[in-house]
Amino acid sequence: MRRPQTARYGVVVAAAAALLTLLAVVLTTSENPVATVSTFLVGPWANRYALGNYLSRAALLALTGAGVVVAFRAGVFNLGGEGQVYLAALITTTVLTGGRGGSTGAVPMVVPAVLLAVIAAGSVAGASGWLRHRTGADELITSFLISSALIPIVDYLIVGPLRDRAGSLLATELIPETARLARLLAPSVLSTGALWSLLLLPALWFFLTWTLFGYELRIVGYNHELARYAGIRVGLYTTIPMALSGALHGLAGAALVLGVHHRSILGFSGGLGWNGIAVALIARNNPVWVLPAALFFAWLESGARAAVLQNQTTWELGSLIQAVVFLFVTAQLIRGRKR
Amino acid sequence: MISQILQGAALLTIVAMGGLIAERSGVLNIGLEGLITVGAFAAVLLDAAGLPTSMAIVGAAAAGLLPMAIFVLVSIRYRANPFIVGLAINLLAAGTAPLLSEIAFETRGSIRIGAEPVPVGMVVFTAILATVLARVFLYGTATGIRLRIAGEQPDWLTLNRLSPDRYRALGLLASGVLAALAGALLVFRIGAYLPNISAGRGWIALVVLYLGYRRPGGIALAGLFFAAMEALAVRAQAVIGLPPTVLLALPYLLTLIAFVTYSALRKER
Repeated sequence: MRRPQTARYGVVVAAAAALLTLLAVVLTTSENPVATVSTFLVGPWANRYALGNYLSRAALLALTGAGVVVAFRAGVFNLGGEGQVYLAALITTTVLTGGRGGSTGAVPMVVPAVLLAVIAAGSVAGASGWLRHRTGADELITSFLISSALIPIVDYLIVGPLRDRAGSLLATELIPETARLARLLAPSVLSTGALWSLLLLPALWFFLTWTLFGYELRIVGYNHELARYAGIRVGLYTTIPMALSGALHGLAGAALVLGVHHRSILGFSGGLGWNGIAVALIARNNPVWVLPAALFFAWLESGARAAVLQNQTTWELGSLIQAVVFLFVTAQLIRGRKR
Repeated sequence: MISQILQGAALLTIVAMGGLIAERSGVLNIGLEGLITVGAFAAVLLDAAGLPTSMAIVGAAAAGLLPMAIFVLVSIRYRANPFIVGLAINLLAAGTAPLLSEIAFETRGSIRIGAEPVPVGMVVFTAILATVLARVFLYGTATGIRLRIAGEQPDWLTLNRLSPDRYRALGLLASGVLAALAGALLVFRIGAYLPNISAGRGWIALVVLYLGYRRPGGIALAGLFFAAMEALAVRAQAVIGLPPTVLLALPYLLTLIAFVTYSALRKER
């Protein structure tokens, strides 16, 4: 089987390995391991501020995770989430700040801004699906490459032409206050954007389970040849799920700007794409499990950040945990089951 | 400038030759980028431990076996997706190197080595040797031919009671040694270890692999061509004032073009 499938025990092993990595890194780098581990474990729930930030992160990860699931279910794999989120975030910001000229945008511009961002991210991902169909080039690789090429270009736009010269931050101008989403748990960054995930996940589940399109999509993902013999237009179900996946990543990018940062900052969407993949794999590609998986992964992430910010451990903790999850999450740990 | 091009071409060729052996056995090794870092870091460690240059290079190349053993175990024995595992190897290398650097050298920045830099000629010689050996191995030995069959007709091997997995493991381990060797040579060439020393070379090696039409000789030529283009691009950037960040997108764009073209041509055949 070529497609990444999460085996039943892979998830458990990956989660256990992630916790073990955490302990190993903390024990070798921290001067006070007990305090560090407790910061890590309870950090995300310590107070209103931490809790809100944690939930906001989980909601964003649920969006990108859902994006990965849509593609997975059709048997395609979107590995370009990082670039798609980043691109969509920059587009949202640019439309709402009117480029360099100052704040021309306001409330009526919010919907077009989000739409444009979602369409752009969707087309970038859809292009990989289309290339897969037309040339046979693996969408796993092309989506990754396109995204990796987009990131330095967006970086350049943020620190170059679109940078806010007044501030010292490597960031664009702020979007107008009227365009921002309402905050829910002040002073944290949790906003009504988190509700997007709560609305979209059931919709995605319904779409995949109860509509003809979702049914045919799952057949294509289950068996390409079978779908072709059944007269399903396989090319359509390669391109559209990729585009939908990109669109969901784009939505996450828009939510990141409208709800959390109100501007684009250099590298600020980093990790949402990769960790969305981890969330989808942990959820075993089931939309119902995306939210719990996102809550779990955001907890690992927020805990690591809390420990790092208190100078108790190293910056690499996050990427090491991510690496270990990737290493084990697609492993089929029951022996004897050949492809 | 000539020696710069030759050095770049030689390093790319060595990494791509490793990628080739793995790719021909049926697994694309995405972890090359991380393996270069592993080899480079192992080289400074061994140099700091007082080993002579030649021993340090050999030891650093062997250090590439460690991450690849994990790769083989997880992706072949436990059937994990090789692409995801390759990404995990890259992340592991990127996360572990600064951590170990902090512990061993108390710095996250660049580390100078004590030994004299090796001459360019030696790097070029290693690349030519790797090309010739890869050619002889893949086309002239039973093991090499079976390794290629593992990539193209694995069922044939199974029918003859041979395990394709064994040849894939061999291909992956070989790619680890060669990529780590390139990392070690790089360190001994510039006389220091720098953070992010691989700088996209692992990805460009994949371009070179497809650009060279998956053949040892072709890869050596493609490596030379690519290094020359890169030198030109750096010159051009200085002349027309292209922002350097945009230049970072170039390796990925070129890989994309090479990969899509290769796939399209293969589909037509």
